[in-house]
Formats: sequence, structure tokens, C-alpha cells
Amino acid sequence: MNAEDFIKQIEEKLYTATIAPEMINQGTVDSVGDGVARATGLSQAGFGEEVEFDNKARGLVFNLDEDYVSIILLSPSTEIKEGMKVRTTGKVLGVTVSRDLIGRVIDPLQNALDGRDLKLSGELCPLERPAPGVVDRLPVDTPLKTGLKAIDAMTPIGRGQRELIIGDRNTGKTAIPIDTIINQKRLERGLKQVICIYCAIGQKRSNIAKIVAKLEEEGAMAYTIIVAATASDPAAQQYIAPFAACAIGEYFRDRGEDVLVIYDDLTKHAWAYRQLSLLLKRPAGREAYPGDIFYLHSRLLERAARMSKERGGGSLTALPIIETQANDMSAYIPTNIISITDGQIYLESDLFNAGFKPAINAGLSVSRVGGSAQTRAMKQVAGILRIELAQFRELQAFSQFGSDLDDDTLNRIERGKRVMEVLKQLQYNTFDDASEVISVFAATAGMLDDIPVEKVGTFEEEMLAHLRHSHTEMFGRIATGAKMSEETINELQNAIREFRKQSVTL
Amino acid sequence: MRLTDDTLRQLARRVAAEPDISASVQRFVDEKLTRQQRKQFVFFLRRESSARRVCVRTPDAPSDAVRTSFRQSFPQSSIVYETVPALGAGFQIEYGDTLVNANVRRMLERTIEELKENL
Repeated sequence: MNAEDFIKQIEEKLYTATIAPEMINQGTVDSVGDGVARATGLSQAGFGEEVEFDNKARGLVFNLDEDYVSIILLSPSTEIKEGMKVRTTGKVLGVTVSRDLIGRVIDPLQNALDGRDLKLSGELCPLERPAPGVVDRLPVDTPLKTGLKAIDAMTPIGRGQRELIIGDRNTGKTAIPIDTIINQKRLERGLKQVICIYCAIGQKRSNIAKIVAKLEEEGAMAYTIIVAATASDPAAQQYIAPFAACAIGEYFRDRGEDVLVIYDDLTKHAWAYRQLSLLLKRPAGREAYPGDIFYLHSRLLERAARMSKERGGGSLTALPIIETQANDMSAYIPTNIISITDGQIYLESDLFNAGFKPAINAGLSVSRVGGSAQTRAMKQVAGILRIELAQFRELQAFSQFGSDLDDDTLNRIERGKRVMEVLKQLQYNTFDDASEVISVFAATAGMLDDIPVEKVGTFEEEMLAHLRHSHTEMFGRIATGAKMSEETINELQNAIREFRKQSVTL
Repeated sequence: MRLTDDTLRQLARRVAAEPDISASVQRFVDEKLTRQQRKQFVFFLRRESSARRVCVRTPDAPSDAVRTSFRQSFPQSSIVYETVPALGAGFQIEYGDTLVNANVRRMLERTIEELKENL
């Protein structure tokens, strides 16, 4: 718009304007503190309605009492003073979404945190929306590859699934979704590009900065949006952050795109909600959480879905993260989320400290719907992986009690050690489909049995590099994800044997 | 004396509706209510009386005809007139928790808000 147009626009507004009466429902701030304000008046305010204070600060109506309206403050409470006027806006809180948000770091109120200007345009999506109905959904059948062998083989994730990542602090919970985001730059088998939304709740700003830098370095910000409500932000912002991330995700999902939303983490989200509820004097229940804490998370995670063709065919996959205390999965919030989600990836501190990364406990991790989203090739080779590992763990525990073990038991333990070695993976080192299948195949087919455990990693790396270059056609055939024929399996076995002869590692 | 919030609310409503507060009511509040109850009663009374008070703001002193018109529109309420030249033209009425804006200042504010959004 040039100056002439601008002047014309203002003049038109001034000359054609009529003084139409505008009715505002207002109230007065009676008390304020700890991120919550209490106001009198506002008789027309609705639950969840956005309100605006005299100084343009925003709040959200959270309690409607007979004499008061309680408002959670989306800005620091120092900006709000007693006696200040507050008015209803007639709007529910929402986010304005368009493709311009991709590659940006924003807070839940859509202020840019990456130091660049953000011009909001697009569609206003309310933070709270009902989850898609039964007829609008399709079963989960398309894989969402994480690039991590242990997950893609044992607890596969499908597009539209809700898979919980659970574990103590410092067990690599965030590393899994970050690797998953990075892995989405591989567009395998003609699958659609996944738009990733990473929602940081109550995290340190330095951690978020580190994640952004890594994603930028890997070129993953080209399809990623980061919504961050840091530990220093008001509890209300931390409370709305996952809903904002979900609303952004839904915008793309409803346009037929595949979206991955990571909620890191819902434990802190539950803390923020508990804090607000206690300040609002809502009755406290177990562990002082309010009675509707289950509903809070279930209504958020129910919005993850794979949509029918009529509804665009998009999907929204949710990866919530939960932090446990002393590996206690039976605490209130973990059990709630476990029962809501379609499976969990359980990370164990003992495994992590033993150097097994990702520290996934195969016995306690499960994917209830991801199996149908696994590629046939992976299904073919990974079918016995869980059994092998379960047997290994049992026998390993048993072997600690006695030294006399029969050959079969010893072989199984040795095989298990190698399988465990193969499932180890460095951070930011995601695998493509074919590499995952070949590695798992080599381990479960016993082709690594006579390789020293400490050399398995190096051997695997060299083997994959060799096969990728010397057996390109076979590699490509496996990468299609189709079930491997007898011929392909034989060819793969021969190729691995042939490589073993020339390997410098052995 | 045991009085619930609801009773105090009703008492405040009735007191606010009276043009003059009788001596017996004053005595009752002074002698029978506890400190906490008196605070609560004041809160209810303030709210009730503000709901019955209409504040009319105009840029110039309103004419008799305008005053009569307002009196007819709010027969049950006490009307306070304020002169606010910054309104430009039109008026602003505040009654209870409702604010009615029909003045040039608000119109300009809205125009500025719209322009800011569109820029």
C-alpha cells in the first residue's frame, strides 16, 4: 500500500463513519497476584473468554463465581493493578495460522521469539476445539519414521498416533523427538513431508535455543514450528502452550497435511494447571491436582487423528513427553497419559547410564496401533526382535545366579548382546529405512554372532556403507518397504558374508 | 449473628434500592454484623449501588431535553452527568458493568486499531 492509498483509506473511514453505539461489558480488578486476577462486574463474561485490561494486557476467564470472575493472566501480573478496568472481548483465545509460521519460534500468544518480525495473517484457530469424530477418522496405517532402529523396529509410530515418551530426567526423552524431527527431511517412499511442531513447556530458554540451533544446523527448521512457553513465562502461558501448538497443527491437518506435534513436557503442563487451579481455589484432588486433570490431557491428545479422505486425509501425530520421578510409572500423571495414549516408549536411567542409547526398555515399551503402520520389510525382520530381547533379559538375569550354562543359553545371551549393540544409536544419527532393516536383519539372523560385541557398532557402520555403494539395486529394493523375497534375503545374506571376508574391523 | 453471603447480598440489594437508609438498618449493620460480615456487606452494597447508578458523559453540558430523555430511559436509577470534552461528539453511558460508547473518540480509536491490524 502506498501513501496515496493509505490516505484514501483513512479518509474513506473518516467520512463514511457513523457513530454506531458500541456496548462493552466491563469489570474492575479487585485483587491480583501470582498470575491470577479477580474482578467484579463482567456479568456477561463466558468461560474461556479472552478479556483485555486497560493497558492492553490479556487474560482468560477461568472461573465464574457468583460475585467474582477469576482471570488467569497471559502477561506478567506486575502490569495489572487493582482498580484497573477489564473488558470482555467476545472472543475465545486462538492463534492466527498460515504457512508463514513454518520456520518460526513463537510463544503461545504468537509473539516472535526468534528476533524476526512476525506479521500474523491467515486463519484464526481457537485453542480449544472438539476432537474429530469417529466417522472423520481412519485407522493409523502410514508410518512416521523416527530414524531410530529401536523405535522403528519394536515400537513403530504411525501417522495420527499418540505415543508417549516417558522416563526420568536425563534419560534422553527430548533426544527422541528431536531425532524424529530431523529424520523427517528424508522423504522416503513418496510419503508426504511432515510438518513438525515442537512445543516446549516450562523449559529453560537455553535448552530451547540449543534445540533451535540444532534444527537450523540440520535444515529441519524448514518444516518446523517451535511454540515455547519457558519456565519464566506466566503459568497461564504454559497452560495454553500445548493447545496453541495443537491448534496450529490442526490447521495443517485439516488441509490434508501430515503434522507431528511434540509436547515437551506434559508433566510441567500439569504443574502449571495445578498451580492455576490451586490459586483459583478449585478443590484439590490426588497429589493436589484438580479433578479435571485427566480431561485436560485427554481432550488435548484426542485431537491427534488420521483424517478420512473426505476430511482432507491429513494427520496429526502427538508425541507427549512425561518425566517420571525415580522410574515411577505408577504416579498419577504418568498413568493418566499412559491410559490416554496409544502406547509408550519407556526410557530407563539404568540403561542410559550403562551407555545404551536410546535407553529404551523393550519390555515396558509398546505401540498399540503402530504395528499396522510398519513397513512389511521391517515387520519381517523385527518380528522376532522383541522375543529375542525378552529372552536375553531373562537369561541374563538368570545367568547371574550360576556359572554352568548350556550352549543354547550361552548362544542366546551372546546373540542378545549383539542385538542390544545394534539397537544403540548416536544422537542426530538417524537411519534410513533400508539401513534399519539390514541392521536388524543382520542381528536377528545371527550374522553378527561371532563378531566381538565391542566391534559390532563399527562393523555395522562399515557394512551399511559397503552395501549402499556395492549393492545399490538391492538396497533400493529393501528401501521400498515391501516384503523381502527369498531371493532378496539370500542376496542380502551373501552380501553380508562377502563383506565379512573383506572387513578390516574383524 | 450467623448470616450467609446470600442473606447479606439480599440485604444489600434491598438497602441499595431505598432512597434513604433508615436508622434501624444502620444500627443493625453497626451492632449485629461482625467485622468480616460488614466487609462483605460493603462489597455487596457497593456493587448493588453501582448497578443502580448511571453515569452519562458528554462533551458539553447536556440540555434539559437530553436530561429528561435519560431520566425516562433510566427511571429507577440515579443519574450522574459528567462533562468530558475529549469525547469530541456523542456520549458515553456507564451503568453497572456495561459501557455504551457512541462518541467520536471511540470511533477514532477503532479506526486506528483497524488500521494497525491491516498495516
